[in-house]
Amino acid sequence: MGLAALTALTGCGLSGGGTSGASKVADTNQRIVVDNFRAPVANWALESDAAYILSLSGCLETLTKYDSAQGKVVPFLATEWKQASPLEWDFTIRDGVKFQDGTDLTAESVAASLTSVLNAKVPARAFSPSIVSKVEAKDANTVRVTTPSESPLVPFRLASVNTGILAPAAYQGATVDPFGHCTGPFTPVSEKAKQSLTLDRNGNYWGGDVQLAGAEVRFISNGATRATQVQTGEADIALSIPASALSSLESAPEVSVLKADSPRTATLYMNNGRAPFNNVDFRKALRSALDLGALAASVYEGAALPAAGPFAPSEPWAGSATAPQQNVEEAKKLLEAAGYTADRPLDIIAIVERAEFADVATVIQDNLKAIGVPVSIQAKEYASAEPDVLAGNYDMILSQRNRLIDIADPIGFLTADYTCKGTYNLSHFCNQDYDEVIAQAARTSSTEDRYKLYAKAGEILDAEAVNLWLVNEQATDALRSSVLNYVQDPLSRYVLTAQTAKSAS
Amino acid sequence: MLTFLAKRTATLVAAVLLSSYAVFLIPYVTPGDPVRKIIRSRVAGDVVDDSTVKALSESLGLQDPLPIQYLRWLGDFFTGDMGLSHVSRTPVADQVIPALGITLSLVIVALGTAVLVALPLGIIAALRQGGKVDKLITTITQSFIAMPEYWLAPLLVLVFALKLSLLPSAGWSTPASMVLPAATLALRPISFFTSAVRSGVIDALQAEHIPAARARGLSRTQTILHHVVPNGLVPLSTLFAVWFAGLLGGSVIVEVIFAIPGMGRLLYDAVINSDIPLAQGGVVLVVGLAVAITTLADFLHRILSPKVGGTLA
Amino acid sequence: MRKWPAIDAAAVVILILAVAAVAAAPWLAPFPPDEQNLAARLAAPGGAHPLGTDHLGRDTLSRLLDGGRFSMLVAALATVLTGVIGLSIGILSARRKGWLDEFFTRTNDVLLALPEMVVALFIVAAMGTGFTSLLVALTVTGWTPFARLARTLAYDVSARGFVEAARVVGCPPSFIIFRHVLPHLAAPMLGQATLRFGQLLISVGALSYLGLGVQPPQSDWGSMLAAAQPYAERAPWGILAPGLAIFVIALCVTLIGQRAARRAADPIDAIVTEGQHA
Repeated sequence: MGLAALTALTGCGLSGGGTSGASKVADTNQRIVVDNFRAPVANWALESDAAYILSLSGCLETLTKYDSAQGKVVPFLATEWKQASPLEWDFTIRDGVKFQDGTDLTAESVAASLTSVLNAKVPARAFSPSIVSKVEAKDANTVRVTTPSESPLVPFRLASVNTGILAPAAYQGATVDPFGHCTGPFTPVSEKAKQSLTLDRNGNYWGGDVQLAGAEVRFISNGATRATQVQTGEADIALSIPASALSSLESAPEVSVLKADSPRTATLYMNNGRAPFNNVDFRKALRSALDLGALAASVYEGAALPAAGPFAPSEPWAGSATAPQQNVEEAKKLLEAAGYTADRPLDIIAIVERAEFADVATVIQDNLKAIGVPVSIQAKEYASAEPDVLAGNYDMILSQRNRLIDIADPIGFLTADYTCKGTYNLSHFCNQDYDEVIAQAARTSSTEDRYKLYAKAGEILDAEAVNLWLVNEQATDALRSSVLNYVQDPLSRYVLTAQTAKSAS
Repeated sequence: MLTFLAKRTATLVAAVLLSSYAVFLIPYVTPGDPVRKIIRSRVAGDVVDDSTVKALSESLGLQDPLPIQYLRWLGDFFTGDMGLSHVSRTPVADQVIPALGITLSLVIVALGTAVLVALPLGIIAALRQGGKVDKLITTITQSFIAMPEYWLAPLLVLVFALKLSLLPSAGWSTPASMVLPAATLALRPISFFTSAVRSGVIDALQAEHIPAARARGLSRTQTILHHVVPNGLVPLSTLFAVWFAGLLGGSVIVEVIFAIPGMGRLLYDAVINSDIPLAQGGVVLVVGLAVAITTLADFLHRILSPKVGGTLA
Repeated sequence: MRKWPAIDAAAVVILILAVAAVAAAPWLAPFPPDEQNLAARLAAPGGAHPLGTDHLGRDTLSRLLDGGRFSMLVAALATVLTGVIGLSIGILSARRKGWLDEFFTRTNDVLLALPEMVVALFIVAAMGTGFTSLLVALTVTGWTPFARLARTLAYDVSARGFVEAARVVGCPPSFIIFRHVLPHLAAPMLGQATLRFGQLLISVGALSYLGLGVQPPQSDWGSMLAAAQPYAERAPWGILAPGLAIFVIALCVTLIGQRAARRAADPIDAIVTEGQHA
């Protein structure tokens, strides 16, 4: 009796801020509060970013899942898959899964769900008619996905949250209704518009017992507020902490901060199609003028690492490049070689969607001033800057790019951003060798070979100094020490799982 | 009286039409394609091709000429349909009405607090007119006007939420969430209300029927309570209404800092995102309500103020 | 200015000193306001940096002085513009009476109903950020208190005998306005202007706090506050300096203005007028 009491006491013991304290015991009656950085949009349409919220809150699940720790696609609602023919992939649907409204997960329901995403008015990037031609149920538990051209990346595509599976009843109305129609460990029960989403435990979850009784996901766009809430205990988990709040959180008791490499790189895009940026020496001069280490240490407070080319070092396709070091002398020499004269100040557009970019632009302005390149800064919304940028009517724009935004493979990013006909080629860069490498990669099904080609493409971009890749941002989440078994996903797609738990104290 | 009401109704209609048309113009005078902005707000990232932009534009009815779109909106509005928000694709009414409710409760709590503080302070200051207490009260309350909300609010959060962990830092979940925002909003009204009560009471003290009441045998306290204070309240009631109207849209900063999903923040987000139906719905409600309330204020002022020919106790 | 209590006199002195300091910023500031020192971020006040440094190592005092120029200039210009516009409209309205008066009163009412902040947002969204758009945003909504006051006072004067006499005798309207009406308005309008300057300074701060003001790296008090806020726990002086600057100047100006306004006009009217631009 006394021993049991002692064990219970040590279970509720004081731990000074470990992550998933093994000394703590999960209390299955607990509810958890998660602060997310944006509110749902488009009335939960799965092809919009609202799908991310459904996924992180533990409601929406997909056929496959990308495990960043292992670096590969793993089974989720589908148990296995194979390429039946060049244009067809077959997915075997897991047995015994029920939707939250009690109906069974069948190949029919999966096909219906995916087809409605395909037919959306504003289709999802990862899953649109140009990428997938049709989805149908081949038999009771196999779904066949047909593509217009051979694509080795179909399993990756089905890990995108936009391809989440909902019960047929969700599609009855004019807009999709996710409430009670997901397969995940938590089921949404109520929503306060733009404020929060409340979920309860799904007692029939296929993946095992759900450790939490329920959750509330709050939508708070101000990063500092999210950080404050975790500090005061109003929230248990806060996603995406701004760099400025890191040091107070790291020293706060009962709070731990998790960091992970994320596929987001803050990038200074240069308009390669216009003077003076059409001269490779000039671009290289700018690269040598920047002190990336100081930038990462100051504006990002160490929560970002100086970038070495377009990829992050931990990505399997990254080459062996190292971050450029500041070398003012060399910068000046390159400027001379380029024949640059400071006839007008160059504009940097800093997008306001990222609060820190105003500061980043200020630091860059200072760096460039030191080599004699005058720069002026304009803070603008991306949407208002976009037309000019796409039309090639700008000098530099500071923006941030998520390489793996729709699938866990950079082919989309490398094609759209840097090929001559790329739809998102902000830098107006055009290089035949590069285009050939990318075209080859798109046809290569061997993952290893493809990654080698990506590395080669990256080297071309680096050699040409197409853009200045500044820092690889890290995903930062903050947790209270009472949260157990939290596994950080750098893209915040998976936050609440069946294993996520909270202790009583 | 009728002409008064008729004129005010005309003002109301004019105000609503003018402001809603001005809101309509937002995406057309701001740089950037409105449809792209809408798509951006739903799906962050890249690659929006022209066919998608065109399709969305048509489905939202944004291809028609401006006056047609406006008339269409106006027509819908009169049948009670405020349309769908461009960003969230949910009915505007579903967002605007709760937001209005939240702001109304915040404003009422703030102004109520202001009255509760200003009333005793103003009376005391008036009773001790010219003395040290009066000067102290007057100077301190006057200084409240100069206090910027965007300075006070973060300071309050720093002290009460972070250091002392007494109150929530943001959100609108528990009654405690109201304390800091209402306190911030109440400062400026306290200043004006105290001044008004003080002046009103001073004037009332000098009125003729006061010595008469005393002569009839009423004690000082009773005189004050029954004759002075009600007269002191007259300017306060007008002010209350005026501030009420003003704070409806003027609570933006407090709502942004405290992450309160009220009307001010809704309008701010809607304008920033070019979400016209939402901005329209919000502006029309706020403007309409503001005009109605100021009309009420003027009405009260006319009836209650002795100077304009009303009658008093 | 004869027998002003000590506190109001102090207010005048502080105000004069502040304006002088801000005007002399380029010579007074110990560092160039843009000069970064990434090694000395968020330094505490003391030594070379009397008010410490901000998150990019820039000297807070220098940025305060330099930013003050922007904030105070916009507020001052806006006060002058709204004052002139309001005065003209108010006098015209009172002198001409009739439909013009009605029209202006209605417009006044309509403008009062529009939330000032939202109108400002709209204008800045349309015109982009910066000095001009802030000025326009503040001017468009800010003339109403002046117009109301001017109109009331002009009516007062017009009702007086000597104005009637002047009109009957045949003096031209402009003469009447300049010789009889304006002098009567001068003091109360100046008082109102002083009050409004304080309020406009706070409004400028609010708009730039929301990011609608200056472009980086230019500083102004509102954006300094917003930038320092995330670091408030570690470096509280960052939010104390600009906030205190706005508060102190607005306070001085308010004390002075209220004294002047109180002397001149009917207390109830002055209060109601002040209260109507919440």
